[in-house]
This record gives sequence, structure tokens and C-alpha cells, in this order.
Amino acid sequence: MPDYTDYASSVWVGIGCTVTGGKSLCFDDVTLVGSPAPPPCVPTEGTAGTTFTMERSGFGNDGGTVSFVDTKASLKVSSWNDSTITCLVSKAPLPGAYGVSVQPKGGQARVYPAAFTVQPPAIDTVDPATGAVGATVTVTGSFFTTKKGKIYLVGNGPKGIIAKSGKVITWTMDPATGVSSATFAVPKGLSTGSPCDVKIVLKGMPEAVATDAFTIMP
Amino acid sequence: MQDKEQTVIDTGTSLTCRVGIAIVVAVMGVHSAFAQPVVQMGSEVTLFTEDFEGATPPALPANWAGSLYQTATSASNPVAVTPHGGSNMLVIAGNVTQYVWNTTAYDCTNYKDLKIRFWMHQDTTEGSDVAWGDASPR
Repeated sequence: MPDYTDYASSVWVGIGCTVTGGKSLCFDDVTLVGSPAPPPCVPTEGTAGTTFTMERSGFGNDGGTVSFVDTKASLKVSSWNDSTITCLVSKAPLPGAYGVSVQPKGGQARVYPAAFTVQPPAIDTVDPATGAVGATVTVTGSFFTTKKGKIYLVGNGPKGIIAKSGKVITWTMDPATGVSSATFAVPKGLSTGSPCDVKIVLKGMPEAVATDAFTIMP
Repeated sequence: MQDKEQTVIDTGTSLTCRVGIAIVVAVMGVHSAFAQPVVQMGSEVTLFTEDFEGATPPALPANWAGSLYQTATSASNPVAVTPHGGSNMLVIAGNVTQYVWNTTAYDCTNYKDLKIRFWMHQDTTEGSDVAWGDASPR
């Protein structure tokens, strides 16, 4: 685990001097100033498939590695120079805030605490809200990841509540914003006329559920 | 003695390699006319300032540490010097290289282009006398 004392989240301020000949050096009005910087990671949140950028100084030009702290989830460096690193979240850990560690090749590691938040998938809309078996339905939301997951309708079946997966037709997520969309075909096997939950299932992520969001019509 | 104004970029490995912060030290002149920042302010935010007025000479202010440094209301070697502002200033005398630190940790997580500025009075007949601002990760 990286040493948390190695990041520049705080500094001591001081003066050094070399004085010679027994004379005096005098100082006054010591001031530390800085310019507001963007967050260590932009965007600050995302999921698998999200691309984020880190803008600071002194990364060096020899490349290196970037990783989440305290998790085996991986980050892939897309580009690297002294002031900017671009990373792809190739595999996301469970939702939550994570520190990001930057290890320049041959340099000192830096850790930016809680710099990136992994978000769970969420469903905003299901459109249309009704349709027959085989109809195409669009689900929009956020943080679906860029890897196709499964979409289920959960409702009344012949022997009680059951879940049926619909064939996923399209699956997209904006790598910068997390805005997501997927389409699926209404599956067979569920009762008509009663509302179903729409559920998105991704590996290693909590499920996203839109309750009573779709009704299968005869 | 002559008026002096200079900007120094410290790329010391203790800071640049560890935390990637460039420290710019602005050394102001011996007269008030030179007490102007030599770096454009832009959108700068002041994170810390010390005028030494809270100290009782010769003691250092609270949270400052550094042997041989003292606060004083005046100095006289080789000429009379008064503080840049207020009643107190920081003075070191001798034949030595020495540091003085404020040991409060200042959060700079969301800042870049950190700079340390200070007013300094120097006897320019001593060509090897130098001073620099420094910051240490904590």
C-alpha cells in the first residue's frame, strides 16, 4: 500500500538561507499562495469504461502506472506527459470513493485520497412503458459500464414472480459523463397486463432496478 | 548596498520529485518601493501568511521552529534595518546555512503553482548570501 505521507496534500512552509561574514539577514511577510487546481481526477466519478484525466505538474515524461488504492481493480494509462495523464477504468471496484495512486517511472509515488468515486448503475427512464413480446425497449440512465450487461423483466409468471432476460440489442455509455443507454427485446414468459420491474445486472456491481416500469401488452 | 529584486525557481529534488510543486521565491527589495509581488497574482489564493507580529522578540511565533533564527524589532549589521511592516521581523546572523519552518501543515490538495514569497533584507556586499523559500510535504 502506498505511503500516505508521500502525497502533497499538505506542506510545511519555511525559509532557508546561507548567511556569511557574521552579518544579518532579515525576513518579513512570508506568504504561501497557490492557484485553484481542478480535482485530481476529471471526471471525479465513473465506472468501468470511464476515461478520466489528471492534471498536475511533475508527472515526468517517462510514463508510469496509475492504480486505485486498496483494490485490485485496474486502470489503464491511455496517455502520459509531465502535466497530464489520461486513464481508462478497465475494471471497476465496488461503488465507493477510492484513492488514486500515481507512480511515475523512476519517481516518487503520489496518492490522491478519495479522488475518484465509482458509481453504481442507475436507471432513469424506460421507454416505451408498455409493449408486446419482442418489442424493443430503451433504458436510459447512468454508469451502465461499457461492457454489455443483462437486462431482466421481473414480474408475474405462471408460478409466481420470475425474472426473464431480454435480448440486449444495443449498449452504450459515454466514457466521460457516464450517460448510458441500452435497448432490449421484451422476453416471453411473463404475464401480460401487470407491471414488471426492469433490472440491469452487471458483473461485480449492484443491480439497477426500475420498479413497475414496464407492462407487457397482449 | 543596492536595491535588489529577483525571482528564483527552486527545483530542489526534495520537493519537485516528491510532490511536483514548483516553488517560486520572490525576494523583495530593501525599500518599500520594491515590496511589490514580482509574480502576477492572477487567480492566486493566499494559503498562509506570517508577519511575525504575534511573536515576542526574540522568540519565534507559535509553530515556528529553527535554531539561530529570532524575531526582532530591528537589526544593525551592517546597517540599521527595520521590519517591512509592523514591529517585528525574522532575523538570522552568523556564518551558517540554516532553515526555519512553520510546522503547521497547510492543505494544498486543490491548488497548483504554489509559490512562497517573502520580504528580505540582505547585505549585497556578501555575494554568497542567499535565501530561498521551501515547502516540505507533510
